[in-house]
Amino acid sequence: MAAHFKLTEEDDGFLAAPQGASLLFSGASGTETWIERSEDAVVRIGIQSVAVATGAGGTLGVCIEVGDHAAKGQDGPAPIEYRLSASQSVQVLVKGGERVAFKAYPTADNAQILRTVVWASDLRSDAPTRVAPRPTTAPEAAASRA
Amino acid sequence: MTDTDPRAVELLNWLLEGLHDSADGLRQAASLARNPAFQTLFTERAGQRDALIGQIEAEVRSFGDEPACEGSMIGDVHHAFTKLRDLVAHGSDKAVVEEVVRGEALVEQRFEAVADDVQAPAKARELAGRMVARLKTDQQQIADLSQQFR
Repeated sequence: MAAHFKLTEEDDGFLAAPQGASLLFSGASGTETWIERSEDAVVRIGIQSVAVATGAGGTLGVCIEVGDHAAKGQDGPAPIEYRLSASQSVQVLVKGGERVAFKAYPTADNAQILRTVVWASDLRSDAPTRVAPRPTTAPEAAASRA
Repeated sequence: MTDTDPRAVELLNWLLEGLHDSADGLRQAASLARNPAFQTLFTERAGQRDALIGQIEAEVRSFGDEPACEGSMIGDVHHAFTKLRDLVAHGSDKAVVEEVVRGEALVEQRFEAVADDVQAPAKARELAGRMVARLKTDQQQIADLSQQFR
C-alpha cells in the first residue's frame, strides 16, 4: 500500500466544527446541499479544509456559494510539503419553509486536500441583549482619587 | 547464426544491472513517498526503465547470450530505502527524492562510461550513447524536484 499524508493533531483541531454546530459534510471534495427551517432563522454556514502542498507554490482555497454570491478564502502559495489550512463562513437568513441551497467546496493547486468539513449553526434569536459590564470602580471613588 | 562478442555482452549486462537497480529503487521510492505526484513519477519512471531493460536484453540475446536478470546492488538498494522508511514516517519526502537522485546518477554514470569508452564494442557504445541523453533528462527532472525542498 502506498504511503500517504496524514492529518496531524493540529489539523484535527483546525477542522473541529464550532460547539453546537451541525456537521453537514466531512470528506475531501465539498458538498452541494441546502438548509431549511420551519421559522425564520439566521444560520451560519462554515467550511474548513486542510491540505499539503505537493509542489512549489501550492495553494488551498475554500468557497461558499449561496445564490449568485460567493465567499472565498485562501492559504498559500506555499513551498512543497507546507501544511495549508483555509476556512470561510457566511451568515444567511433562512426564511421559514424556504430552502437555501448552497455549495461549499475547497480548491487546490499543487496541493493534496486531506480533509474538508462543512457545518451549519443556527444563531439563537432569543439570545439576551448584550449589556455593557458595570465598572469595577465606583465613579465617586474614581473622582475622589483624581 | 549469431555473432558472439563477450566484451559487448559483458558491458550490456553491466548496463542491465544498473537499470535493474534503478527500476527497483524507483519502485521502492514510489512506495515510500507520500506525495502522490512523486508516487506517479517514480512508478512511471520505473516502467520506462523496464522498457530500456527489454531493449538491452534483446541486444544481449542477439549475441546468443543470456541477459543479467537482477541488479548489482539488490541488497544495498533495499537497505538504503529501508533506512529511509523511518525518516519518511515522521518527516518529509525529501530523503526519498535525494536517494532517487543519488541512484539515478549512478545509473547515468554507467551509461556515460560505456558511451565514452573508445575501446568498447561499437554496438554497446552506440546503444549506451543513445540512452544516456534520455537518462540525463530524467536525472535533471528529479534533481529539479529535490531543489523544491531547499
